Amino acid sequence: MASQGRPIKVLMAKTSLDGHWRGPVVVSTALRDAGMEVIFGGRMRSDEIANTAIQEDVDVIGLNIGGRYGQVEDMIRMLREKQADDKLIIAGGTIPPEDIPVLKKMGVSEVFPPESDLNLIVQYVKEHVNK
Amino acid sequence: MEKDKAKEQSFFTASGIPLKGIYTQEDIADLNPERDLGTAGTPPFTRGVYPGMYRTMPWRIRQLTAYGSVEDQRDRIRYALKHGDPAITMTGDFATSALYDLDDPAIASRKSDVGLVGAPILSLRDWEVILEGIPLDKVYIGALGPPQGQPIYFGCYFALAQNNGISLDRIAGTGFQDMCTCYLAAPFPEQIVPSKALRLIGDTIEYCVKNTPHVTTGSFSGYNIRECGISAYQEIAVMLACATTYIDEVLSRGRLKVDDFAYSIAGGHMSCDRDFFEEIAKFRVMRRMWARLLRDRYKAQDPKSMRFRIHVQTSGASLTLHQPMNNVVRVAYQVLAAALGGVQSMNSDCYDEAISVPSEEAALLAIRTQQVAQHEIGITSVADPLGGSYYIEKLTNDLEEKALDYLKQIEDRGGFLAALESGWLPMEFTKAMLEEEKKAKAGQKKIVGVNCFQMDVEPFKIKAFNTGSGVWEKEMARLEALRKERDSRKVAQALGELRRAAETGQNIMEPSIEAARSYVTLGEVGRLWREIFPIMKEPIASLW
Repeated sequence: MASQGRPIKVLMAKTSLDGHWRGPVVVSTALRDAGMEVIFGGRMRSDEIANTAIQEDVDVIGLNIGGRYGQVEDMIRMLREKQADDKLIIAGGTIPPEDIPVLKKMGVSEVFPPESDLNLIVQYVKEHVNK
Repeated sequence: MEKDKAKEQSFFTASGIPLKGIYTQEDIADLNPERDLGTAGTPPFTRGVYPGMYRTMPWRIRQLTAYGSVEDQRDRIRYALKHGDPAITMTGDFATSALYDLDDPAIASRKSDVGLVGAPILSLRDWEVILEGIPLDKVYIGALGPPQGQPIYFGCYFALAQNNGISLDRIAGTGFQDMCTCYLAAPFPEQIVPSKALRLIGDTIEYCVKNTPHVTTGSFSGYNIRECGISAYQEIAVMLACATTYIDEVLSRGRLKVDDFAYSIAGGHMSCDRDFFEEIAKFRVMRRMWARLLRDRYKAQDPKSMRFRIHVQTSGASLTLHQPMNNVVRVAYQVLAAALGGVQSMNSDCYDEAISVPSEEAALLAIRTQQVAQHEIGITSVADPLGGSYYIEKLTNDLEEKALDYLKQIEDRGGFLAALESGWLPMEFTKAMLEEEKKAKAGQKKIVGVNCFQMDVEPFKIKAFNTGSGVWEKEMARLEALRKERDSRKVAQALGELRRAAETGQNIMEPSIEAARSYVTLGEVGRLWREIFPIMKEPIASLW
């Protein structure tokens, strides 16, 4: 990333109709403070997330999810269909520990449950982004 | 050495009030007990809203019990009724709260979410299934709708009562229609603008004071805004700012005087957060400020108008994923604080809430936590047991001062709606979210098991509750069956009446009850609202 001189670009979105924003706001701010460009997509359908991620050419998709993952699966399928599955996908929210392997199998790179250290999230993105 | 350390360190409450090491008579020299405290059951109700308090009326255990299909939710509600108090909270999933039918693209594209945080309760049919066999005149019902949904939620509740031969003056319960939650803390998508929602709120108040004397029409909620990270005094001030908006709306119609309706909105849903004494003081301040606001600004004379009843939910944001059984202890302390603060009903959170929707065992333990407090530890015998404590009274005064100042800040910006629409209030909340995060990170805010006393291996293994799957398919089939069964002529007529009322300014409640009775769905009401009322842009979207 640094070699191309462009900051890491992140799309942050919530897949459900829920309106609790504390998690995505706090994480978005941490990523922005670390020099990344964050598009705060708010509440988006899976096709909207996939299309926006492609159009905006983001490096990272951050998802606020919890409990149900149908839309994560849909979104990853859409990205694959459009050969855009090189993006780093991370997720956070009220996610039971036993669901983490399920999400990883779908194609989510890392899952950050409640109480995750923001520094670790920033560090993870910097180390794993495909640029 | 240790002594010196204590000297150097400063102590503050969670909301930043500086604390002395000990309090004395001097700290409350200005306190006038008659003016500032009264006794339990007399204005300004600082010491409690009822004379006997818990001797005559223990706080009501009213748990949130929502997940899965309509049948799942029915069974969980029955479980809570069997083990707790005769009180039910009717709240649905996102489709219900946002007024969408299940085949609306907003939901059909999110099928797997349906039934996660509640069942989709989309018509009177669903109410019939969930409440089947439950005597509506003997059970307190929280029919908790967002502002734009409250008329049809009440419509279902009232139509169900009437269909069962129970007159509306015999049912007791509460609505919600709180703007702090639904427009600020956790907004739903595509809601009608708050000024139009306010009109619906005014309609329900006017209808309910005439027809349902035991139904609290609305409940101002500080809970969800508090969970964003704001302070105790901000919680109070935002609730009161919102309340004045509702009161002004009803008064501006010129049909009711303040004492005709204030009692029916004199209640709120508050958090009970981590700071034990500050939270106790908060409930006392809330009651005193409400009483004085109603008496001084609105010239209320009826003590019922000045009597603010409180439902508490313990703080979900204080619960942790790590070492989750520690949450049992957190909840118990918060229940104790709420009880010492003299609240009227409680929802104690479940220890697994940072992990999943609560399991049955966690739900039971939450109920038992309140029952232990009510029956074993002797705190229900005396009203306001901490009243007169130098510390509690001083903290009550200090917190009130900060809340008054914050209320003034909101009113200087044109009041609740203006401060919401201008983005000022949402920005305050965003700031609070970030501040809290910083405090936890810096270790200023200690969280056992998270930033101190951590362990590499989790000592308590608990299993996430599985809310099941396939709810969309099951409930969609039910909705399709309903569409076939119901009298489509009646549906069209009821929707026509609802539209006419909405467009002309006729009170929305009668047509809403008729619509519910005709099995009009919540999604159909939502579609109508979105067609005729302007839609609000979500505040959070405008901040980024």
